[in-house]
Amino acid sequence: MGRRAITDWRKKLAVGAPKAFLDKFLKDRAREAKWSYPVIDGLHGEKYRGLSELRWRCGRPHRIIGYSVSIPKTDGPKEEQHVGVFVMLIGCTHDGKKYYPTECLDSAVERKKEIEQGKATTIEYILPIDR
Amino acid sequence: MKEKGYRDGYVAAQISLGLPTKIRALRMERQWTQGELARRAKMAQPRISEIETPGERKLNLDTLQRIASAFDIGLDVDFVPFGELIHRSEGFDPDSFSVQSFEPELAAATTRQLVPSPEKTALQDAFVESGKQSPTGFLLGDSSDLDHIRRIHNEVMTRVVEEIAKARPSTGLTSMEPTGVIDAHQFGTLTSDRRLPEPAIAQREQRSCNKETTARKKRGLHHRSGVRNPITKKRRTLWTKKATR
Repeated sequence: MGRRAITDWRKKLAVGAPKAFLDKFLKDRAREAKWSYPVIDGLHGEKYRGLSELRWRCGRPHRIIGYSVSIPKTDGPKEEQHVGVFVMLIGCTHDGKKYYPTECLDSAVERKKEIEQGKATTIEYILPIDR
Repeated sequence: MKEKGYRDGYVAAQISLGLPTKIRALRMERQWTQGELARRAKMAQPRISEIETPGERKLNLDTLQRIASAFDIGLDVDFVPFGELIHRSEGFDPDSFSVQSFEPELAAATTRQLVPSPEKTALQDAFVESGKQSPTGFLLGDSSDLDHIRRIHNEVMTRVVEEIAKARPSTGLTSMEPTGVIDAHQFGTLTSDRRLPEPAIAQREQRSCNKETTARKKRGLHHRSGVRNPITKKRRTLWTKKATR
């Protein structure tokens, strides 16, 4: 049984607003074809090249670090043979210049490398049911 | 959803995350910059940027009213059961979210009011007369049918334009304006014999009644019965006694 980065992070969040905000934010993004600033922003620095963060605030700023990939689609019209996917690597909070957990950016880099090398796999994130 | 805390958070999320997404979608639909929206809402551009960032700023009713006014659309703040809230949230699609401004809405409503019925009726009549309509409503036949359809369409459109031109002077829209005889807030229609509608008559009677009441009060009489007000009389007596002492 492998770990599920975002599902596990969600479990750790407080039951009230933080969890509901995460669900609502991801639900809206799942329906949106194109994401742009301020909901997504690229990370700065050579070390974090290719990584982006999903951004929302619930009391303090919340972030999901990940990266976008284009994967081939098996069905649908020919002009839509590829579909954009955002791989969510880690969830964290952000305050000023500090991220919590503090090593989250390094973890994200490490996880991305593991996926690219085939040492780790990805799984579709299932949005929690509202009812 | 079973937990109270989550439900409260869900409501907060609809406001704090849902509204910024909607505001941004409305702005993008109109192809406005943040600066343009800021100018129309009489706000600073950085404030719009904050408003559009999910959860960044607590939106109060005044701010929402100003934004609704800038887009020239309505604002609905309502209490609803959770089922309805979930239903609305599920139906929300940021990419297709659109709210028409007042002017285009009015234009569309007027067009709907003027055009469809004669056009629809005339088209239906024409197709029934031609006998070219299939039971499913699709037209069947070869290329000669297409010419026939085009001819019918042209005839119908000419008839529609004529009917609209005839109908225009008496569309009834002008009668919806305030008449000036009755109070401005009353959008009642005034009939040709200049008879006032019932509420206006009642108001006029009320006004004349108020005049009489004021006159009675001035004379020191009871405002309704018209007899000398006993309380006033008693007070006056007491006051006179005090003054004498």
